[in-house]
Amino acid sequence: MSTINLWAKDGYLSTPDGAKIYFWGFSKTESGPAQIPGPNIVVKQGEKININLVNKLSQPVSIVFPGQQGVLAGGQPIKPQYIDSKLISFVQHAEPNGRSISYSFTAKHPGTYIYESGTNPQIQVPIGLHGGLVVRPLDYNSTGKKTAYGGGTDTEFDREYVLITGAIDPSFHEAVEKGKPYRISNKFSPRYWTLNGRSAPDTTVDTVNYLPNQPYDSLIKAQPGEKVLIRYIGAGINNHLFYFDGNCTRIVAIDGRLLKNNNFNPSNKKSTVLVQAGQTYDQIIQWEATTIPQSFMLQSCNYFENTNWGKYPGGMMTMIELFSLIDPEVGVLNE
Amino acid sequence: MSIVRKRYGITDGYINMPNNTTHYILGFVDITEVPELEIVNYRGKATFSAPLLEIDEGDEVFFTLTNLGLTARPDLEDIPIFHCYGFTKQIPLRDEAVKITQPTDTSQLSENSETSGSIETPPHDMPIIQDFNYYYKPIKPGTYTYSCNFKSINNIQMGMIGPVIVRPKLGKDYVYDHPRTKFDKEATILLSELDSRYHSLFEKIQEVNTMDYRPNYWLINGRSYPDTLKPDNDPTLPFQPHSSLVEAIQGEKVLLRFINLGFQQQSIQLIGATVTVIGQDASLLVGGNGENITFKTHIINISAGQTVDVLFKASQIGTIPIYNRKSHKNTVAGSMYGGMVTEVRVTKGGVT
Repeated sequence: MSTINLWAKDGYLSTPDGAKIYFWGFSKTESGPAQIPGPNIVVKQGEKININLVNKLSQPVSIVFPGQQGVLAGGQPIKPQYIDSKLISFVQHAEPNGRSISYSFTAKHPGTYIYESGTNPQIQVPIGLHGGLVVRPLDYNSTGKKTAYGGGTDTEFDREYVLITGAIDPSFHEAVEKGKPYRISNKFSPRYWTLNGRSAPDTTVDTVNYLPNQPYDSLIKAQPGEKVLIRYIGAGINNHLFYFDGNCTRIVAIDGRLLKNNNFNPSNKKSTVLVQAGQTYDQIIQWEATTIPQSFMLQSCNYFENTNWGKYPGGMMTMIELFSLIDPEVGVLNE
Repeated sequence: MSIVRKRYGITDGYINMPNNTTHYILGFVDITEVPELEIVNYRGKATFSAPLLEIDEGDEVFFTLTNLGLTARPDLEDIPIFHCYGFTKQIPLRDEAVKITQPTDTSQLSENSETSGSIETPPHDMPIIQDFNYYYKPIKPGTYTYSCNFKSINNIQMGMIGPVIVRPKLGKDYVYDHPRTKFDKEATILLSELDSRYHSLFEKIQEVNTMDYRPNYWLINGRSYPDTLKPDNDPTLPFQPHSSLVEAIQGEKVLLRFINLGFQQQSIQLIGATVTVIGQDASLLVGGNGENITFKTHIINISAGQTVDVLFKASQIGTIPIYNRKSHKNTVAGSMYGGMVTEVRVTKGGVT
């Protein structure tokens, strides 16, 4: 059984052009900073998981776990919450200013999933209350053969990375900070696009101390021939198309479900992957290189998403670096 | 397999949104078997979404479309006509109005056309209280759509959109001719958007630029949440008769037919259920050698014009919220919790 504690609080994130933007995020310690995206939760298939949420914000917050079944909130099955027959949350929530709620479920399927707020999700998810949930298969062995979906599923990997997409509209975040109304339905215009909460070139900076509210970088390092598992999570409200410069990736699973179906393996190779809102993709990619070291770009096909307020380079791009020998600690999911 | 006769009227109407606003629409109304002298009473009573056209594989469908005239736009005498998307082996002569001009008597049919019965060549559009007859013989089961394909960018937004279900020969409780597709309960989730400024300008005979399309309401079966949960034929929504609330008994296999007849791509998420996508665009997901390529997910991405069929087993009692993961669309003209939100309520079976 696994217990994870999350605190919903606010903070400021940094963009490469020096802006500090207000956001809401989850933190894994009571006094620690809010982070965007939320802490990666890594659990094992079949494990019973308890998630305790303490809400330090001034609005109710809840967590939904798309793709999981049998989720309980405070011991009761989850269900939409109404006040005077007006919907206030898709699931039971934690009241503001320090109140808490516990969710529990058993992760039945290995795979990549999202956890995100189910209360006013049009505000709370883009503002930062989301994170990645990775469920390891039953026979996963961190020192032996690592697979994404278990033995015999053709999903062995050597290193793994999680890339969570997002978009930041500074006027939306400012409206939330000042408590002003914001018509998100037709005014949402992002100026910064993010991978793991950061815009390029911060996406490839790999020190945590520099950006305490955005602790995950997106730099992908591999040795030639190694199998790299990349878990895309589409946490934004828009779709993003990514392409690998000079290589094809093999998509093995979508939305936490393996594409391989008994003997039939429809996992397919593509050079572009469309990460739609709310979707997760697992893909395994290998690089061959004749000269080492070498680097490739991984970026959005919508080139304006590779900008920071219109300035290129920026936004949703990261680098893939190939070296002949890389520390075994690199490409291990930090929990 | 039988002969089915249906008659729909084209007219206009008004629909209600949860913020007590009404919006002008164009649409269809079912006037099958209404006596000829009474069909004018249906002018101004278009429903949104348009009536479900439910037919069986192999039926011969004689479909009559009648232009009932509009109450609010007297300048529009000629109304564009009907088209069912996706039917295989249909005779385009009956359907593609833009290719044929004028002749309305059968003597001018070309030698390639059939000359059976009272079927005529279609004009560009139809004047008021003019009938036009169509003939369909669906040979493939699935979920289809109908709308109009003349001036379609205007008319699809204005509401001339509806679902078609073709039931397989295997039985009415199957989606396709395959035992894997059996279901106990079904529901249609027809997605569309509404740009209220567009509808209001169209009603007032103002020029509208379709490039300025900015929807501010998002609808399931023509209603916005919380109206989506109200029952069928709710008196507060006289021209939006279809509910989107799905009620199932524990253990039932539930079929959801998603149809996107808006212009935007949507991502519909279910919390607490994992569904199997068994069909897309009225095709069972099966590989070239009969492989099962259905897949499981909890979020359905559906593009404009697509239909997606999903099955899931309602194994636990409770409520499964269904909402748009592009969550800025779960709004009613900007305010919260409206739009494309509905629920599946699973209750205990048996005698209470």
